[in-house]
Amino acid sequence: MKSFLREVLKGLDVEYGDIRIEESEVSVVAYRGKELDECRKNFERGGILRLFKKGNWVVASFNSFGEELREIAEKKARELELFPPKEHSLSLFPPLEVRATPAKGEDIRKIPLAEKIDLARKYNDILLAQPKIVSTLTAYSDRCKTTSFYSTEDRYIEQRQVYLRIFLSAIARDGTNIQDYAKPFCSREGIEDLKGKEEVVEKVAKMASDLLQAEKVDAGIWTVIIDPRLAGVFAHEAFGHLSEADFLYTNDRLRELMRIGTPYGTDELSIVDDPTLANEWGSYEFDDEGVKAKRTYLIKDGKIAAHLHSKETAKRMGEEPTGNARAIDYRFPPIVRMSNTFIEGRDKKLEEMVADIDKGLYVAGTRGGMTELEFFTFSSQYAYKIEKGKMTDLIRDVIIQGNVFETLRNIDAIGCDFAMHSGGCGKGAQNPLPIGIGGPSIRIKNCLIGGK
Amino acid sequence: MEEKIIQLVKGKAEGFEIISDEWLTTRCEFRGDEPYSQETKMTRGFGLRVIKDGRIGFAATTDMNKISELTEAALAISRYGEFALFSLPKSLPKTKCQILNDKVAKLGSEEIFSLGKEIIRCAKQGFPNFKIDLNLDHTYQKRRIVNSAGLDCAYEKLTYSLTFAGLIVKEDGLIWIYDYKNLSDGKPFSIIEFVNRQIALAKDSLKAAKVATKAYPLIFAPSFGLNEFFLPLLQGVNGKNLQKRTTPLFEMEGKEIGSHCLSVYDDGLLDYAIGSALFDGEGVPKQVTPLIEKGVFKNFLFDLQTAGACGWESTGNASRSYNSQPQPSFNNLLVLPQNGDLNKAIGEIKEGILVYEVIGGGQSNVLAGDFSVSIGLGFKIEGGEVKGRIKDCMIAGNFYEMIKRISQIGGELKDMGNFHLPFIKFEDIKVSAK
Repeated sequence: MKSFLREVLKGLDVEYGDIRIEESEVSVVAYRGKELDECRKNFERGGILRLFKKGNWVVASFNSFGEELREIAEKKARELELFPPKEHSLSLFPPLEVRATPAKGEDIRKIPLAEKIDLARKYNDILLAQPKIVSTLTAYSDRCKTTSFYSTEDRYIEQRQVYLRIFLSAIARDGTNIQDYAKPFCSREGIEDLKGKEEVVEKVAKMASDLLQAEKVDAGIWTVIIDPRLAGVFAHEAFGHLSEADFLYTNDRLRELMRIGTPYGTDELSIVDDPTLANEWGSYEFDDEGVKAKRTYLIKDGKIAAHLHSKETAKRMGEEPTGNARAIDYRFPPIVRMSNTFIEGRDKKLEEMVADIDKGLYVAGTRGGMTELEFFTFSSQYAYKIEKGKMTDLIRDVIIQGNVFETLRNIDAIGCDFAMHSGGCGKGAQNPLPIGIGGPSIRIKNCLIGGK
Repeated sequence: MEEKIIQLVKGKAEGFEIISDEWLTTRCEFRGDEPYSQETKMTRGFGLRVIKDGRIGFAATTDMNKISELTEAALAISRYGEFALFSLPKSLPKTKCQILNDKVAKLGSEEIFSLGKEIIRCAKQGFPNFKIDLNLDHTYQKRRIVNSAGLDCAYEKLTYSLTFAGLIVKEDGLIWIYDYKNLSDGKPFSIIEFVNRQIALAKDSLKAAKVATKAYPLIFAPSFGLNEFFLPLLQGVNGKNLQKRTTPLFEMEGKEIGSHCLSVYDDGLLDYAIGSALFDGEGVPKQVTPLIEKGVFKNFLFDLQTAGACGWESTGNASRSYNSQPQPSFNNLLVLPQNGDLNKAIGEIKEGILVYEVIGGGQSNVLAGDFSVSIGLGFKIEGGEVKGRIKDCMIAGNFYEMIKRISQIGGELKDMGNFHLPFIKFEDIKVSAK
């Protein structure tokens, strides 16, 4: 493969070029209600090539291999001449050769279909057995992906990655009142990690039907405690995206706000992006530009510590490359993305945080989040009222919004109950990219909550 | 390749369907006013659906060396698959819809780039503080569906569109102005007219205005934000949610659910629209389906299997690509224009809100109709005039409640991708502010 890829890029009039070939097998088993709604197998083989010269990129993805690939590369190299030349270049790396190490654990391509169906059906039956549950989505999916990367730096990297996931969603209904609750769990090693989760599954269904009785929240300003999953969403959505250098290098004001060393929030606050964690959803060894993954502190002890980079953004901002250029698949060029992003745990117990609150909210889970630069919105799955230091009624439809920098300063307690979760991130047209999110429970003062 | 797959599957299943997709997509991207990249995607893939012993199996591939694995996987899966509740279509009735303009099909990278440059030049001339990101997307698609009932149909389609995102950096925050234009029909395109909307919005957004937490009359301009408002309806009319009885529209056919001035259609045959084609992902002709007429709920949208499960017929809404099984989804959502004029509607409001973009749509309980969003780009109206931009405020509403409060609908449709919408005015919408 290496010599084939080298030949495609050989002698082109470019400053940099790379090719990424991906072969993958995907299997999906999804129950919706009682039906096996989707059961499929996909065999994908494709690739993408990128060429860079005088600050400009051209990109082509393809499914056919062979001699036409060289022609495509030559055609794309000519298209580079359409662009006005620019000053900047790329951070380049020394030659390297890394051959695929077999993924840890079993070869997931050999898991019998019947085993996947049995597991999904078992969980789905648990969901359906709960009162008021009218429909479900229980989706098992696995993906085994082998990537071969070659760049004109003479770096050749083969990687094999496996992803296994179960996504559970229960929909409860009472007349026109419809509520749902969802939870995924994942493994990067094998199907055994997904087994034995019956209790978790039962709780998913129970929460969906409990939400039928829940009141909507009153809009206004509240003191809130967010749970580890939502803390992870906050770290990723509200803050993490601002650390992505492709947002920063074209935006002077944001670059100023995100200047290394700028203090935000308490000394106890540290936010980390770490693709090197074992068996986490957002982990990888090399990014999609062939750069070795590493742990990066985005905020350390309350101060901005680093930004996330690709080869291009690192050079443009004169900072260290971080190995955060990722693509969802071979149809897309890598862009600056997070991996596993989390707030580090500290020592406060959840009960202590609750006890200090006279009137507030405990907000948990996530339906997703969105940012428009420093402005963020995220939706929770459920919440509890906190009254006179105690959690009381279940409530729903709690949406938090705010300005990230203000919110960081309003964090006044960081818990000890650290946990990681899996998620999917969308940026541009690339959605969903596997990411990890996490943190402990976090208390935030003066949060704007939308509601009735 | 289709013929090879047929050879392999023939005699091993009582029914089969092969979908073959080919795309050639070119994207010219501008970032921060400058040309940034030129991206080509060449995709070719096949999907095989089999019906064996009455059950469905499916597999797909882009790897031409894996044709026999593809067939084996589809047959193996059919052992566990759902029972097919439909018959494959035998032939394609004639439908009329323009989906390919030769002149647009022939556009080269150079012409596409110069259009982008010109748009940026004009927009910056009218508003020098804009930082502009622009995408021009040119996509050629060829689809063929062959099945065991005798159907063999194909179409070629060309879409060409531009997405505009203008950033204004202000002391107290950042403002994004978005717009979209479908250029697939090859008709003359006035750059000046296009950028004038963004320039006017940019100028209005330089002034700031304050809102209180209370109910206001609210005008939703056609925008990506208004597209998001309709997400609950798209879930609600989805036949899959009828089959699972998870839609608030269950048993609501013929009942009044919204204001008399609201009529909404799914139109799969709108000329040169992004969601149009001669047939859907199963070879069923696309059509125009009334969803809401004069406030009365009319129809759900189906593919073959979902229609079979609900005792209905496919409405030509099987959405898929080669790599997945069909699912019901809308083609183009169209709100029937009435006679409203936006400037006049603003002029009549003593105190109200004008909304363009929202943040967080689709994140609340969409199935139940919840529409809780932050206002991304919105303005305060005072004494019949746009007073200034508002920020840090949210709309907390429900789609099914809000459509009862529609008091006026605009006379002009704007094409925002798969959505064709006029402005919509609502009464009494709760806005919460910090």
